[in-house]
Amino acid sequence: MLFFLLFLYLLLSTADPLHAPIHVPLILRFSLFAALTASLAAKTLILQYWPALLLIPLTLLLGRVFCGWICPLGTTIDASDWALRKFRKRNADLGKARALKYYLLGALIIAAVFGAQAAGWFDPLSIVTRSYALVVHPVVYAAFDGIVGFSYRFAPLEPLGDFASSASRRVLSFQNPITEQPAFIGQILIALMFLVILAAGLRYRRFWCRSLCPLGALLGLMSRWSPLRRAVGDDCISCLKCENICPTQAITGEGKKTRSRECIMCMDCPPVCPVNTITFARKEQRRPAEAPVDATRRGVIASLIGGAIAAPILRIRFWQRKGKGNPVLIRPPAVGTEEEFLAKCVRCGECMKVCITNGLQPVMLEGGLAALMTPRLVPRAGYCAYECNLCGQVCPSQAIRPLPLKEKQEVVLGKAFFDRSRCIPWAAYNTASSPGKQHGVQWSDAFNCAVCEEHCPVPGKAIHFSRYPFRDGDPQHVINRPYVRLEECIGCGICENKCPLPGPAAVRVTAVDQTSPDLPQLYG
Amino acid sequence: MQEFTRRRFLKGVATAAAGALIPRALITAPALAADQPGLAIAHIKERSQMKEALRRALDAIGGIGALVRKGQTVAIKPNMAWARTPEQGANVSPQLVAAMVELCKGAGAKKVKVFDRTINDWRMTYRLSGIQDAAKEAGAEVSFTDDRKFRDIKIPKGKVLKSWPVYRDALDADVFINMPVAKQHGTSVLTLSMKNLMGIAGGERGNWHPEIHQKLADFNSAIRVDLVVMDAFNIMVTNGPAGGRPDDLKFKGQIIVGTDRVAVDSYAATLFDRTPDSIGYIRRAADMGIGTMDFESLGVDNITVG
Repeated sequence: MLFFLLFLYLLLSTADPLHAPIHVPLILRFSLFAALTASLAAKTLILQYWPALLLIPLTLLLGRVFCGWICPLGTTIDASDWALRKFRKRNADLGKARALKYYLLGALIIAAVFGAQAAGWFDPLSIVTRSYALVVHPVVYAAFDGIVGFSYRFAPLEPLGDFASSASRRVLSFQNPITEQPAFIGQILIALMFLVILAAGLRYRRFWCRSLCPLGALLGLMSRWSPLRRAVGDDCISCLKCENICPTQAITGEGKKTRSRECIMCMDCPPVCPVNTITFARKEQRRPAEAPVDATRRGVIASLIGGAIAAPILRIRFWQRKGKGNPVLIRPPAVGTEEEFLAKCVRCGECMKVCITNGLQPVMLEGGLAALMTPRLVPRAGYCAYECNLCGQVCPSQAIRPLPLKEKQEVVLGKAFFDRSRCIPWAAYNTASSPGKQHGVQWSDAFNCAVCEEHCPVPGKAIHFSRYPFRDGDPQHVINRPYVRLEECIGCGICENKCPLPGPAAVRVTAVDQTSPDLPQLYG
Repeated sequence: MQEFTRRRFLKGVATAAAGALIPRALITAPALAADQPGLAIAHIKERSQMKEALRRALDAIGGIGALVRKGQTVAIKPNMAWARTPEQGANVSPQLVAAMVELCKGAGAKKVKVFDRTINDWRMTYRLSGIQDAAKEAGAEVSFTDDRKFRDIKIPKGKVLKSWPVYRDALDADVFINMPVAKQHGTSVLTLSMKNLMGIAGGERGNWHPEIHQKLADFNSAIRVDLVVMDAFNIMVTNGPAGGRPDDLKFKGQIIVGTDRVAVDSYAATLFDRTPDSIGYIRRAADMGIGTMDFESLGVDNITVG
């Protein structure tokens, strides 16, 4: 519970300004599984994952205490299992499905070796962070927003509105109040994935932890050396009270045996024992009765082969062909090559949570299966703020590098280009000079716009005007037609964001490879 | 008899609340004192002299006491639109805002509110501009402009804009002070006090840019401004209104104070070597009777501080 509050606190602190005394991605960095697969897939040791190493001595000494006491997904599942207790007749038996998590772990590690990393699908800390950041937080926001909106409709209630408004901003760290609550593409799919995990509680307690969680599997395997185990004394009367209360069905053999790898050290069983014979003690003192592992050799081999086959499938991307980048995948600053980014990104959504403009959005299928739930900048939703470098600071896996502001400001995310058939000064010029209207069109201030030029944050501006004198000869009648100075443009997307046209902007950003943002030779 | 529905109830309450606020008919604020100049320009060398400069300039046009009375609520709208530092000159100097807040407080103002509807993220902008901290320290209430605190106003004289949502706190304050910084601007040529007023406009302001001159004049014709305090310490001559480079700024060392926004803007235009009537919205605002381009006719007091 304490750790869950810490998790929530850190999640809410993942906002501008970053002032939490503890590093916000700390809990995410506990994931030994993500650390392992991201490092394997990227073929580098991601040193920032050092907190994950703490899990090794912890588990070797105390077993799966992480699962029982620390993991925020575990706590959430406990809460939802409790809420669903009336609908669940009994904690149903998973049987052989218990071994699934080991097969999954094996398959995912092999896939990572072959370069496909799927922490986003199976890492509990990634799932829980993403779900709270991209689904729960916006929902809570909506609730607060409702109070504020309601209060501002009645003059006497305005102080309440002011209070709720400032509370929601200070405490709940809502980041994009000018437009509306933070919104994320594909929120509903992320919500569904989360709800399916929770809904399993209708039949099974801790379903995720028992059957699927690869981090749980990893810790389970390590816990075999843990000296601290559940032991049952000879005076056990096999009343099965402990078996019934055990959330992970770690108790078997009429209450006498323990599947240590399943035991999450929740310590719920000793208090229910009517004869007080359950103890958690060092195994030298009392010989605990151990039940066999569920995984079979055949299953493990099959899963490893499966992982090797899955890797290339996960990695297929239509735009992988040489020299043809995916134009919509504008990555946050600063990432390495797409390959490296996909290997490192654990899809936790921290960068999208912290993005001050709400511009970082989860990729759905536009980048192929491999890029699912990775962040991309959607300039129409929000731009990359020039004075902001938060995403790199909260990324747990260094997929986005933390850069000092000065360096971040030089990272090129993409390049802007004008759509002259939509851009007001260009289109107005066309209208004004089209043959049918040659003599009818009078000068109008409405020919000029240039909101994009105004907002360009690059010192010296990447958007400039070519001045086109209107044909009536009046020196004040000049159409300022904007163009992009490609060598200056950093692709932050504020021009696309602020373009006043409804629908697609007249100036749009196309992604470039951040590691080689040089202009194509085509431009000479 | 219509059914009593929640919607109707809410509407009724909202209408009653709006009606309770006396509409302010006077758009052009009168001079603070009839026998004193309408425009004061304080010349300074350092930002630290701003407080002194502002006080003396205000005294020259009639004194803060003629504007702010005991127990009143003052709203200050500085140009605090860009996530830029004070040295970059895209926003008003924090020292000047702080000085204005202190003077209002000193004159007995009950509450001084400071706000702007920022262009970049508001938290970052409020912080980086230095204005949030400076104004708070001086005793102001610095708040975020919530989208629901905007109220539609009619623009009876408007030629292009007929109505627009405006920030409530700006409309409802007893005294409204506009604090722009003088900058070059791509579309409107210069960002001065009348352009700065866009910061209390709600809605999709990007739409203003085509025909911006008439829209600015229209908008100004419906908003009462009691005082303009313009920061022309460093004026931004290139790459406005966001700038970013020291080269974009030019030192002028002036603080311009007046009640006639057209006159203040007209004088400021001369700092950029422009004539007032070459700036579309200044000319149109003068045509609409919002103020005068002939700032010299109001009397100009030049004060040298330090």
